[in-house]
Amino acid sequence: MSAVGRVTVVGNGVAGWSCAARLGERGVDVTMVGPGLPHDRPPLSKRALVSGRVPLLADADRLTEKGVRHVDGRVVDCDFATHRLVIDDGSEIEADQIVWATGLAYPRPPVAGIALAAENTTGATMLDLTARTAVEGRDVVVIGAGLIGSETAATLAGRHRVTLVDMLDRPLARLHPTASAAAARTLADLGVTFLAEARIEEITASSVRTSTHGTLPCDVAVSAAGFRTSLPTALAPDGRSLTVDVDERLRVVGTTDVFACGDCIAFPHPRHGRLQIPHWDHALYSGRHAADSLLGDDTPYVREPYYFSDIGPLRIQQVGLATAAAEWRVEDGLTIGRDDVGRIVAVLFLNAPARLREARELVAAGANP
Amino acid sequence: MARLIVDEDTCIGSGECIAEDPAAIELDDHGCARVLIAELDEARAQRICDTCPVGALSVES
Repeated sequence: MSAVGRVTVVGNGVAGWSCAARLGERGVDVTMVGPGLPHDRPPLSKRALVSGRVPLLADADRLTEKGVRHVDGRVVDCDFATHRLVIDDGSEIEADQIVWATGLAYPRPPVAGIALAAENTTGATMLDLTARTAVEGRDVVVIGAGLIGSETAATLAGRHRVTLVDMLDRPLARLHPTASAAAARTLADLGVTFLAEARIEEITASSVRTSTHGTLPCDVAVSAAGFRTSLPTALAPDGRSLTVDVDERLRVVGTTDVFACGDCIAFPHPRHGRLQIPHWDHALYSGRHAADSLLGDDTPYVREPYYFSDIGPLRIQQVGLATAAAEWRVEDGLTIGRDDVGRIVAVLFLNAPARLREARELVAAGANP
Repeated sequence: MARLIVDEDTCIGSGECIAEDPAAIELDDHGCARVLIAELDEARAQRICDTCPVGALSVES
């Protein structure tokens, strides 16, 4: 690799900021491109939605302190061969090295009137949702009972009548049934009405009409129906969900001086093969790792998947890869997944934050029997 | 002895500090770290502080 020159980090979420800050700390000439100050996406902290303050990762002083130049905008086109980036205001940046960290986009379901819906995915959309739920006692319909929808519904339930709808039969249906059942109980305790296997036909200014559950009164609809990788057209010409494939050091496959990190990448995990991990912990650690790789470190990125979620008072944590599990068993309060030869691949635990280390040790022992 | 301070605006509830020393720190109902023991041995406080991935913890002597 050539010497480190002018680095542009594209994206200012957790991965982009952690990478840019690390490069700045090491004295690299680093520019970070992203809309607004670096902040957590989605901004799921309950304090954020209740207080209406965007959870910033850094303010202007902190950017200066870390030596990170910030361009407030979005990259709309790029050329990985010439390292030329086009910003949405028409300006261009030429970089010696690029780090791609654009994370995820949150497409809305193809439903009539969906443009009326709010979301809770970026700082700007969170502020919009806060403003639209400022007056207590609204009828809120959250569309999609994944982690984002369930967390958002739980937070709003304190001040509003919240209905959570999903096409599937239970909240967090893609997680292990233990987590799903606990989330269903918690949401019910918080007063959230869950409507299973719902089909939405139209959203209007005052209702959500379904073909399965009649017409629901609705002052504010919230779209939380899934995500895909956020890539510019140049990288995803057909608009399908794609990932940025990287090697074990997080260098983009087929390039020399382009690295990538965070939710948008698929990296070769030593145990499970190519993985995309759309979670906070991976964004932070892969961001730092991309910076180190760019600076010449040749250590492979091997961090075990880890996520945490707070559905109201319910804390869900999981280490490892649930989809690699062939069978699950509850042992001493931990829900343990094993692969087809009996090695531990994932550990799920609820309301037991003190057991994170133990969970990591179990998964590590499964990887190195 | 030392005090462990949580910056609630910075804490993202990763749970790393609780994994290090669950007797000294817990998660509150907002998923934010909350110190359980007011006065800690300085080395112990520093060990907990060092686990935070976002620098939300600090030690005050």
